[in-house]
Amino acid sequence: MHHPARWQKILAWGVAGLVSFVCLYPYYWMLVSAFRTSKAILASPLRPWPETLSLDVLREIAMVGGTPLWRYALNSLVITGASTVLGVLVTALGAYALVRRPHFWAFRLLRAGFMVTIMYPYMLLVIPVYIVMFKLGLLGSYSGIVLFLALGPIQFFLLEQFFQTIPKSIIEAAVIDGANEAQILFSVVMPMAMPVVATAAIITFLLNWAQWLPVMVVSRSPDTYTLPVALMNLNGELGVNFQGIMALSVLITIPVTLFFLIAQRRVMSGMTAGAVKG
Amino acid sequence: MAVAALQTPRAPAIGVFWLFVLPFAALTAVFGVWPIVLSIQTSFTLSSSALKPSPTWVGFANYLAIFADPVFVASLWRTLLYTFLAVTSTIVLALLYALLLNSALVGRGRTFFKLAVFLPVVTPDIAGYVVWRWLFDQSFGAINIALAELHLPTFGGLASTSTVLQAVLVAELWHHLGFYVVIFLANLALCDKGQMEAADIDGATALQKFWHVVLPQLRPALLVNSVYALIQYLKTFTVVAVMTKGGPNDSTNFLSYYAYQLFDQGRYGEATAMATVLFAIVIVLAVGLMHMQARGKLT
Amino acid sequence: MASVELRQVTKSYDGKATVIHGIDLQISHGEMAVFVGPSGCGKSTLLRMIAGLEDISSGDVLIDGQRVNDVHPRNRDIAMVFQDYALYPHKSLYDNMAFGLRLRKTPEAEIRSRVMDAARLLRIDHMLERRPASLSGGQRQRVAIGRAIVRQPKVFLFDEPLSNLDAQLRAEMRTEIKKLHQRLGATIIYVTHDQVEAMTLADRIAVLRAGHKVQYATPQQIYNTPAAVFVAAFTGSPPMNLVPCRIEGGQALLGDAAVPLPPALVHRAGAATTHTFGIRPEAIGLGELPGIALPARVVITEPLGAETLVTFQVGDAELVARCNAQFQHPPGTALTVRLAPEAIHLFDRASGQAL
Repeated sequence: MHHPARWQKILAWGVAGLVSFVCLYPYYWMLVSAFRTSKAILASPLRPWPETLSLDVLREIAMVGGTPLWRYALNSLVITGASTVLGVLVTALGAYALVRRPHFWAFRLLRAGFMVTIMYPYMLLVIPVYIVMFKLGLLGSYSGIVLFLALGPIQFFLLEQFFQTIPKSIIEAAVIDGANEAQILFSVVMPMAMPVVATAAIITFLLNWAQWLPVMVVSRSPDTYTLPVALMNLNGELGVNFQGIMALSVLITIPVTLFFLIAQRRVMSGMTAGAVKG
Repeated sequence: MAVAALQTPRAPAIGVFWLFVLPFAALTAVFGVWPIVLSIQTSFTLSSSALKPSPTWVGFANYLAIFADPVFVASLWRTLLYTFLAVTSTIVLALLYALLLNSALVGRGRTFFKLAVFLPVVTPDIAGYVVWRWLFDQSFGAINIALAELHLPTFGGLASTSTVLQAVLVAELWHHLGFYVVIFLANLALCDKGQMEAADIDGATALQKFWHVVLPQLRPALLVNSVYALIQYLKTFTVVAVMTKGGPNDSTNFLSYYAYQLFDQGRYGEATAMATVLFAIVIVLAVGLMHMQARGKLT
Repeated sequence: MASVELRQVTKSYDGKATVIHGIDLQISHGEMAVFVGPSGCGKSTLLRMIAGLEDISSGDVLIDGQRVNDVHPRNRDIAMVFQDYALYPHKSLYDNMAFGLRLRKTPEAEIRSRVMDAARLLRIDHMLERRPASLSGGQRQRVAIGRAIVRQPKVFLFDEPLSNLDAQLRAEMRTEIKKLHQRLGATIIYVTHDQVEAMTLADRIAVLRAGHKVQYATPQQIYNTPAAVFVAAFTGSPPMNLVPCRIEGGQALLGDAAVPLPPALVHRAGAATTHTFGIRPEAIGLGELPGIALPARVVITEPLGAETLVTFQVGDAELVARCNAQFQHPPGTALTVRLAPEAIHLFDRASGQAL
């Protein structure tokens, strides 16, 4: 057995500790600054603890760009939730069909089309999507935003990979038992897929929560903006309210962080599933 | 018998699978493929007419215009250069960190370190970049204040054209590194322990073990993730939108951002032409790399 | 219970690669037919074609006299036991077995009685609420068999069901399956690559090779009158001795050892002068046993406890013989061995067919 030297261990922990510090410090700074006035932040940025722990700042950012904060929060919840549910269901059904009939020419084409879509610079997709929404009359609507946010590569790869691991013999056993394809899907496959579907849902939620450009582009008014969009606007405003920006950042970050910490193993393995070569 | 490998499923009836795949196909077609086609189409039209029912065709005029635009050409080179830097540093650093976390040196701390480095991946990048922007600030940023306390030279950060790319890279690495670290950790866990033990018995040093046992097994993963990182970094957008707005002096004006600015100005034709150019680059690089790997030229 | 008939059943992929070449087979009502052969011989493919999981390129499959080529698997009244058990992981054992019946709208009372009967038969009735993951391989296989039994199908299909079990468990399950067959009197088609399973379980064995049926006969016939070298080499442990020989003047010559042959065999040998000579280890003996005497020299001895395997040099061939445990002669000893004349086989050198 290889026993590492003590100094090597210390060095390793030191490096990892440093990296972790760099990764986590921005959150810490964000949190602390949310409680400090802009003046205080400018005066001594490195101060590790806020002067007071008041939540007054929330009143300051209660309105951003003329729209109440709770509206942005509601939009975030609704849009992220809806696009997650829709996206995961649609992707699960689609991935299942593609895995069950991989040689069918139309399915091969569809999968290729999806791959091509992933390769397109996502942010720039909003340009033509704007035009598409325009033609479909979906500009400014929740549906438009939700539909656009529904599909994503990570969820697809995760689900596709899972369906590929279902042994063919189980499907064949169900066929011989007399199940038709719908029954196979709902009675046999879906129960098996529950954990993966849950993982895909969590990941989709985490990723969609952070979306800002598609929401901004497809919206016609701040009525449909989500929290990240509010942050972009706040960030761009003149007469910068540092504390407000930080407070809003904290609001955007905390729910997602908690969510992640609760399901971290699932999230990490799920997000990287498509890229791990076994 | 080689024939056994030719197994195709029993005369597959597509039947109800049409139904299953329909929503997915619809979304992909309407919000994926159609926009791309539309984008390429629009790049051949006159910007002011792009949204009209019958736009004016101008052939390659938009493309000629953008390549004649010095800002675009500079942006193109800059994007390629930055992407190359970002991809290599990400893959190399992620691999090194994964090796460190995977080794016996770190042991029980592994979960914490994994979480710490992955957290920036899942939290909204906007919030993170907003913070980094202030950390880099020349007068009030925590970084420069800290450097001053340690009597080290201050960092030009986002204000200086010579350091802004580095600053942006640091912020992007912060956001993306964890993803690749976790992927490599998973791949390392799949490595053949038997080979490692054999190498140990043969008396190999850690470096030799890495080079001859670990690296060959990681080759496919390295390639796939390089392609993934390539696609990811060529799209660099949010960090610029939040931290630098393309500046100072266009030094972080990457293709995505520049194209978007044009879109904002209503210059749809040129914007989509740029988007198409970027898209073409992604496809060529990604497909090219995969092809070369399939042909065995890279491994 | 039903009969199964295969008429010139063929399977090819895209009109090019043919995996099953025109197989004819008649399996009687209540018979256990075992398809056996090496990997890739097509036995599983054939089974799956009978099940309806693979297309039939040409030829007919008849179950109980009815052509079922275009009949969906669920309507063929068959049940299948898979090599990897294929149990539904999220259902209890009870639900695993009840699934097929529920799909056919069988009344719950009927389902209950069938499941409990099968469970008792397979000794899994005390664990029906458990899930497959908490079971051992042997138990899972019994659930898989139970799932098939409750369907009361016309034909049972077993696809290498014991291959994933360890040796001891395999032996136990083999006996259980044989008892089941006797108890249920069912028509069973069983696929395996293991010749011991084939010999012990089958009423008749179909030996397959590269998509061709080489021989379809009872275990005894397969053992005593193999139709080809392939079949002869496949059965028996240790396998039949197969060595090249020359036919001259009514004798088989193994180098300088001459073995007189029965006239019928000589006649069938025809004009060709080289053939493959076959004799089973148990047909070679020592001492006063009747048979054709030949000088031999001991090469190696392998004591097995109950008997000893001795390899003899006879002429230019090495033959393995089964001798009793008291065999003491060291390598190099010269002895006389006796070959039982009725146990001599000749196979055509080129085609491998028995003569």
